[in-house]
Amino acid sequence: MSQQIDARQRSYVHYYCPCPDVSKSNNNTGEDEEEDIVESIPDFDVNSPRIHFSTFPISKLYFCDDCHQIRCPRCVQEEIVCYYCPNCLFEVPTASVKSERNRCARNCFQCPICQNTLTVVASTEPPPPQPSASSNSSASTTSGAPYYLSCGVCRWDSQEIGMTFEKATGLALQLQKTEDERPDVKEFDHLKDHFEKHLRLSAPSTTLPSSLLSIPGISSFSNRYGGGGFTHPQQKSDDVAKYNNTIKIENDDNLVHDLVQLKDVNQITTLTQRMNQLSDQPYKVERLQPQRIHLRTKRVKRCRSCRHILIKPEQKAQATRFKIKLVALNHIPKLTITSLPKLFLNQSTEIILKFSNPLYEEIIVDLALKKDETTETTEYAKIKLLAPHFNITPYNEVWEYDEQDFNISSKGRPSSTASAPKPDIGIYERRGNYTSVKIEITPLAEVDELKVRESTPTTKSLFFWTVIGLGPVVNPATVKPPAPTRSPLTNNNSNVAPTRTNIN
Amino acid sequence: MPKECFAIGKRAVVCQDTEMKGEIDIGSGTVLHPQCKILAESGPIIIGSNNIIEENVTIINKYHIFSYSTQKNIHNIYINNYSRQPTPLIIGDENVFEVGCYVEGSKIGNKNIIEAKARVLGNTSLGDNCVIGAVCSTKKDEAIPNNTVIYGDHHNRRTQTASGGVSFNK
Repeated sequence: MSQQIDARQRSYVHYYCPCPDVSKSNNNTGEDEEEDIVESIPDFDVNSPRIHFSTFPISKLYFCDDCHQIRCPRCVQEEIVCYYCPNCLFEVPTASVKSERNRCARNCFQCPICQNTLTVVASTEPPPPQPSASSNSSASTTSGAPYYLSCGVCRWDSQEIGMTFEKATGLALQLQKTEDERPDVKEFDHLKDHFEKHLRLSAPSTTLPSSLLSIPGISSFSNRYGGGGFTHPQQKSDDVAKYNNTIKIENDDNLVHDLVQLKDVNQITTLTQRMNQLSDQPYKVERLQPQRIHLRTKRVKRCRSCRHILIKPEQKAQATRFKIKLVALNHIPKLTITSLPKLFLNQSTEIILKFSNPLYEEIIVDLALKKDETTETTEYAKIKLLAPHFNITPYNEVWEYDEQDFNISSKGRPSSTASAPKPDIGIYERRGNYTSVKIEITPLAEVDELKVRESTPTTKSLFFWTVIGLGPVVNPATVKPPAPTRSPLTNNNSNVAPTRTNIN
Repeated sequence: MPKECFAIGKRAVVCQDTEMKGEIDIGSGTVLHPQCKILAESGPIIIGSNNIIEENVTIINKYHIFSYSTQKNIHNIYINNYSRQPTPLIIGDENVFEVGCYVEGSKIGNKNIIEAKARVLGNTSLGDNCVIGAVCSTKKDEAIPNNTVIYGDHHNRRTQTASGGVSFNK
């Protein structure tokens, strides 16, 4: 049972975005467009490791209307719209983002142990012993003055490190003083003061368009090349006086001594915990402190070639809708594997792929393995497409309300039964806006491969490779009869099946 | 088969739709939500006072096979089980068993919180004031000390809390 679940979890359908293939010629202007493009698509090698970087599930893909191409997360350009705190959903104005070091300036903190959000809790006062009842009875369960932070997941609280607050709001401000006392902050301020006059001598920093702000480090890049144009480099280095350290930190010999005597690994911090507190990265759990929560951004995504906006979110942090949402799910057919029986070596099995059409027009799909073939024998498997050419009826919203109409495909034809005028070979089912087709696979070796090609609607054509992973192949000779022992799998690699799809 | 016998304390609430089998003793003030299962298969279950047992919770007292062994020895273990005395599963006071959890341990202390879909397996015993986080499980056959918290995706990270803080509204 668990093996079946594992196989389903490891099976997938991923789409390939050709953006890394720079050598493909992009200037196809011939009339016989389909043939040209067919030849220019480079051969798709499923087993090369670079495939992992360029195939994506359909949920992660976008679709550019102008270029009529799939865009993947790697080939979109991003621009930042706004910065917000994921906990309090407060939109931080862009000017104060830098001064607050990209963190929330209000009450949002992160647990140092488990990195979940901390809540502000009031400590309860113990009920007073004398019965000066009326005024104090209400105070016995409500808040006292010292507030502290507590984590709901790991049950850590800031009283363990002695951190309490006077007021429940503006906690970051209350912590500001202790933050400024930290040795690394003080040293950095000294450095800034020392170099201040030299910074002012160089040309003022160029203002960058906000589109480039998403690349970290770019402002320092432009300063170096845009600013130092007129100053003589030799003169510049002479002006800088020697800097003396003002803060001295002693080596902590006790720490080494304590670490050597550790009996239990739970007493030191994990790597994640240390990386979340970069200022001093302590080894001891008691020295971990809650950090302010990092801000997140809302970004606009653009197509790289035509600069057309693909995704545009709303400005407000609480709004989850998008003003413009050109995602691949709404434009290209979605492939899912609906039936995947266990794959045995040298035994032919049929899997069923379901193609569902999101458009309001009918689409005609041409499936092919590489270069227009419908059967293929590679060293890994023998694959036969039983239905290389079929159409999918358009999407109709009425079907969401009335189940009855769902069964009838367009033009009043009943769903695929023997009474259809042409026999639909290889088509398993045709309902609503989807069609399921059968593909026969005979695995010959441990890894399974399949290549299929699709085409787009009548006005334009679009083709893309898809990779279908089918899970492990079991060698039946080594499966023991059911017993308390579990049957071993011959190979735990997931099977990768590349499919190229052209949609007509 | 153990005889069916329920002893329910005063001010306890046992909803309809609960499945109870075997010898069960429920303390005063305890609330059993609908759709929970208390199965005292291999011994009685004694539940203390003021507990909250939410929907879909399964509390079982059953036989445990201590180790996986080959075909030969399983036969011997079954014989040994039949001759064991029935051991009760004792649950203390003021515990909260959240929705969907599964409890099979040998002893549960007081003031524990077993969060949604958590599992207490095998022969483990919980102390007082522990928290078993959502979807976390204990190992079989261990004694969890007081004030332990089990949390996280690798569900075996533990830390100790300070003893204060949580009070039930009465």
